[in-house]
Amino acid sequence: MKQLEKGRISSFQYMCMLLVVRITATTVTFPFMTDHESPTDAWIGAAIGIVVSLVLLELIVRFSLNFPNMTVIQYSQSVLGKFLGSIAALLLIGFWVFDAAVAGRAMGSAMVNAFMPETPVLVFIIVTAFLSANGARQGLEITARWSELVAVGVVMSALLLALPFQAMNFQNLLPILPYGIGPHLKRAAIIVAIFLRYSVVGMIVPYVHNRKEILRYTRIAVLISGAVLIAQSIVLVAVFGARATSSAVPTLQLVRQITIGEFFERIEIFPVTLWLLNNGVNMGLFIWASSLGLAQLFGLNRFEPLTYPIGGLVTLLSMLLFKNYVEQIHYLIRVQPIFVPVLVLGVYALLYAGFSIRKLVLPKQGNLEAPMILEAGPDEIE
Amino acid sequence: MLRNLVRKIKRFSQSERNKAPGETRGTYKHTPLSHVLEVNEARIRQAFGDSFDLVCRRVAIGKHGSIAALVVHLNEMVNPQFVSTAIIERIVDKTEHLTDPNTVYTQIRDSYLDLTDVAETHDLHKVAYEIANGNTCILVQGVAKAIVCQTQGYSQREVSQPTTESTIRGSKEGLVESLAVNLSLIRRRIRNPNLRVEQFTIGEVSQTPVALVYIEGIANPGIVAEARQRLSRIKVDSIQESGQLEEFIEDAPLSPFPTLLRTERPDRVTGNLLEGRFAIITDGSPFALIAPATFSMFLTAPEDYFERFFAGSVIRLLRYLAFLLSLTLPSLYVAITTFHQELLPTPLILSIAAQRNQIPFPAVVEAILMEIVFELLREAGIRLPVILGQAVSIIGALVIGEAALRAGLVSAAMVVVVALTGISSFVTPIFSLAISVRLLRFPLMILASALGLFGILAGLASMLTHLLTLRSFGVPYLEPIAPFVAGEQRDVVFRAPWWAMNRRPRFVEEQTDKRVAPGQIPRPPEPEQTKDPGR
Amino acid sequence: MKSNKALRLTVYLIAIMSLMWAASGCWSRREIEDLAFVMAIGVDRSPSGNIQMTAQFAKPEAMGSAEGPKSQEKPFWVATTEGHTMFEAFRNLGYISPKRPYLPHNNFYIFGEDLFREMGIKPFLDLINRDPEPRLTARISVVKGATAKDLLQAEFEGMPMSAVALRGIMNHLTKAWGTIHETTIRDFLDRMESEGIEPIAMGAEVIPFEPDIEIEGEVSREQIKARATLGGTAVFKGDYLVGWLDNFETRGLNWILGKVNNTVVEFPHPGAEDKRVSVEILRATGSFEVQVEDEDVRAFIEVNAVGNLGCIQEPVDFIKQPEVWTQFEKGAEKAIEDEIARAVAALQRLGSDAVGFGQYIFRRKPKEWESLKHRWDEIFPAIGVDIDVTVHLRGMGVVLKSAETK
Repeated sequence: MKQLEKGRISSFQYMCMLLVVRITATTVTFPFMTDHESPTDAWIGAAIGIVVSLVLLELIVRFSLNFPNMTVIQYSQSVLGKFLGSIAALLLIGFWVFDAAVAGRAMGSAMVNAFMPETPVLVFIIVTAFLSANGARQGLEITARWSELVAVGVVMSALLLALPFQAMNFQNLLPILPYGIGPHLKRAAIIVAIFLRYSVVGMIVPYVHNRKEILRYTRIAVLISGAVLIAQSIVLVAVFGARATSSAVPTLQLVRQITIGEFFERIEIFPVTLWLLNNGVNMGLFIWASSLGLAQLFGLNRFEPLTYPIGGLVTLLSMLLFKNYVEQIHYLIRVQPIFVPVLVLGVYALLYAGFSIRKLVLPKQGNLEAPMILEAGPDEIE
Repeated sequence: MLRNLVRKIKRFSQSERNKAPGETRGTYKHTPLSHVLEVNEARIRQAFGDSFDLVCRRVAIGKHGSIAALVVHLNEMVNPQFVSTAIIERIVDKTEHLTDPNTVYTQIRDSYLDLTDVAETHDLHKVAYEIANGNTCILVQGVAKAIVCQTQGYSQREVSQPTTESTIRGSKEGLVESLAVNLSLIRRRIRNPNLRVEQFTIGEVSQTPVALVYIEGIANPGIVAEARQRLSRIKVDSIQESGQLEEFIEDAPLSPFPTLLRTERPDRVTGNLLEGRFAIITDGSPFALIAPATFSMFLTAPEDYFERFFAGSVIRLLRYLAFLLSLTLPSLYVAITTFHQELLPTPLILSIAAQRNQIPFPAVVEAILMEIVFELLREAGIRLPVILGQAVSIIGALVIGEAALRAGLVSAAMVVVVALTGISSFVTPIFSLAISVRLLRFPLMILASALGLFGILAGLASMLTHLLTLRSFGVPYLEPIAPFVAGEQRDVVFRAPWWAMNRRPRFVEEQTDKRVAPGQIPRPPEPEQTKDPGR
Repeated sequence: MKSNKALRLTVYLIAIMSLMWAASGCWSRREIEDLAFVMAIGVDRSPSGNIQMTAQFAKPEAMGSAEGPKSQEKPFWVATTEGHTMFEAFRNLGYISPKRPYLPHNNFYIFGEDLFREMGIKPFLDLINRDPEPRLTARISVVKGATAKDLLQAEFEGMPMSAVALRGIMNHLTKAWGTIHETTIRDFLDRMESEGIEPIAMGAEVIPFEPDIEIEGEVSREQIKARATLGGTAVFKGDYLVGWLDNFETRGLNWILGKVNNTVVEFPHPGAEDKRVSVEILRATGSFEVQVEDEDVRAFIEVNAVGNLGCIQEPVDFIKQPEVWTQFEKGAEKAIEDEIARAVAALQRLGSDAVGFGQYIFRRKPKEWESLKHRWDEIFPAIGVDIDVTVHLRGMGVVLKSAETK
């Protein structure tokens, strides 16, 4: 097997990458708050979503660990055969490109809506995609180090949540469950859909130094980002009350509340800077994953030349995906919670099915690597 | 990470393994010495082209002066008194009972000379180079060998305060131009046989001695081998300053950031040696090069370690702030005044608006102009003699500052920004980093004028991507921060107290020995010990 | 080497960006000297029925610099435009102002009372809420009995610009009187969108300085010598203005909401006819509970205050008559209770639940709120209120006895 990516990352860096991927979606659009009834207890929906995501990701990571030296693209072909495997791989790669495009567009629109209305959204997307592709080209290690730096931002954004403290009113969090559990399930679906961006771990796992820690760090990453998510939904409601659902970019509105001593206002640009970086690293990771995946799928010698074309593709897609902001929001709230789980879980279910069948039919086959930790199974979750 | 390093080192060592370091190559040809003294003398004179400072002193030694000997040296490269008392006087007096030239020669070589460092050579060219190096050669009639005595004694600057890195607390000694003195300054601080000094002679013409210094057992041998490789690879006519050397051995020759730390302070050299780094000292330059260099080292001043750690940490934090300010302040000014006017408090923005009202240029032009003027002033201040330097600062302060302000060419806010930027850039302790920052400010200003803070962010992000790819001798440039090493945070932004700084950086291979024995936090003595029996 | 590539790319990027910079003229760029900073926006109803917007612009060059104030020029100027929508009216300012009107530093939105005769406030708030430029921390205020334009042209001593001066008055009243309920746009929107609570806004008044001059028609600014002040509260129901609370009713509302910091309460002297006592309240906490039993809704309001004796018009010897001290406390409690009762009565009369009794039920008992919600307009005016005020007087200043005639 050709070694296309020579970098090795630590499990801590792995966790930071997952955090960055998740926080991007949380901060920029925060779609699960939007347009649902019962905003006051939104954190319940978040909590449900996190529990479900924890279970699903545990399954995905455990399954990936059956092939500790192969990326999901490589083992999809050894599990499902050439044809089906390639289709599964292409679906995943397509999803990553698509998701990078969505993230890029979301950030671009946030910038345009909130800061520089006269500037075309394309400018922001091109610059970000270019820088991300550049980062992706330097390999996984660079992206990992970027993530480490930016993950500091996660801590900082958690601290930022405390700044609009005088505007908070925790009475706003009441009542709990006035409309039953229904709206929360919808929210949870969105959260699960966003967490399924973690399907990209299938590309990272083989490059992590200490594989024994992967499961632990995945859980920690989900729990930390979950904690940030819940904290954010609580703070949003505490500050905005019922209006939390009516904002297009609620988190942005939240940081716009920050005033320091009635003197410095409108300092939202600083947390937004952090999110831009988050978003750039996130896009870089997805561009890296799709370039490497494509190179592995077609047996290329190097993946680096693919990063710029894929960056271009991401730019193009993000421009073409949504005609306007309404469509974008519609995608995030209505389409995403169905489309993403179907795609990602479908692919992984297919892979798992193939894997089980192979194991049953050909128990001692050589081209499957020996399972390293536990074999994935729905009944084996702790 | 470490794998990468090892791989890299392997690659280098495979490609250039067989050349021994220190051997000069190229023009050097072996020419044996003659048995006839006159022939040797003539050849040496020829080699120096009858330079007038070449001294060929014929001495008659042995019983009744029966044996002719030749003492050759360059007049102003040696200590003349040394040559007369320790060499000429001794060889004349001591050999009075001897008749055989060979015995005379061996006796002189082995016992008569009142010197510590004596060598021998068969090679005429070697003799010539040794003479050029300030040594004295003794040739004896009938012996085809020469004795090389170390008698260097040229004038050199006294050890004085380092001019570019001054401190309030800490050693006041600075490195000087002489390699020997510098080595003594370092040896005196680390009196340990494990301190290794490897000599290289670089420069086909200049034959400049260069020393690679490290501590055996602490420095990573792979990194030292890499340094050795890179040094012996250099083929150049002369090395006048360590800066030239730096360009030959740095990892990223096109990067705006320095990957070797350059210092004038011996305590800084030894401090880094003790952390497992190596130093390269060049004769003729008071600046030592230290590698592997990481970014945080450039914002570290020796005082951080000598002052109490709270003060050290806070001042270091201030320095990071100053670094950021000097890099971004002018571009932030441009971005805020042309894109993000909502960011500033109302009274401040109104005041800036009032000042900007009559200024004919857009903010970015104003900023770039003022920054260029400032750079001009700074450069003029360095070039001019000290007395004239004051004149420059008066012109700078009065003419540029006051007059431009009154003429409505620049706004007062811009002057404040430029001044702040300037002051901040003086805070960076290592000049080579300050220079990079000076350069990088300008593209950032242009980006800021195109896309505001987003532009600055894009610029900083691409800069950071570049920094993340940088390595210095295999060590990531941003090492303790990204890749994040939790254990090394005690000496990056904050400086932990000495009793807690118990580990060396990660790239040091052997982490077996702790730097500081545990449990040394000073505590007040136990109560029973303090009991005063007399009370 | 990798790093060289990164460097080359950086150089490319800079080149591309420079080209973009040169080619585009930069989309969102606006030099600071080309901006006219709006300090306050006033909205009225124009004679033709459109929106009439009055903007107060800062005149930074007249604000003085290091060389001292340049002239006796006023540091602001006022422009008035019309439009069908807020956005249109705001853009129409461009016909008057040579510089681009710039909203993010605006601190005050002032609405004329006339505006709400027939329409709600919703159409005026959407721009402020939707556009990224305005600050949501700007204050909202309604002018009683005058137009916002008058208010913005009023003059103040010391702080000539009314936007700054009003903020000063607002801060002072909030800290030292509690007779104003400081309302930001965000608070207003929060109340408007939340269940069971109605929005309020600060009240403002224009005080004619020379009562002889009539303020009618197009009068130049020099002629108008009017002053303005803040006080009282404009009470909304839904988004309609339904009435006013006066200063002390506002303080009554603030007692309930716990918004009173430091204030002065006065009441009749218990020991002497026609003489009065003032106490200074230093801290006060207020809270309420609402109990629903079937159809019967009752509110329990509890206020605890700590204060000092401020001044008495008739001397009392507290050493000989310590019980007077308790009478003073009782008197203050009574005065505060009256204020609260007046405030609740006024709100019930206006039919606007600005205290948030409904919100209390919604938060604690969402099910019951579902059933009460539709009849809340009938229930609210009839809610019985129990008020429990406790005042602790602590100090009496630096004298023990008042100065007394011999």
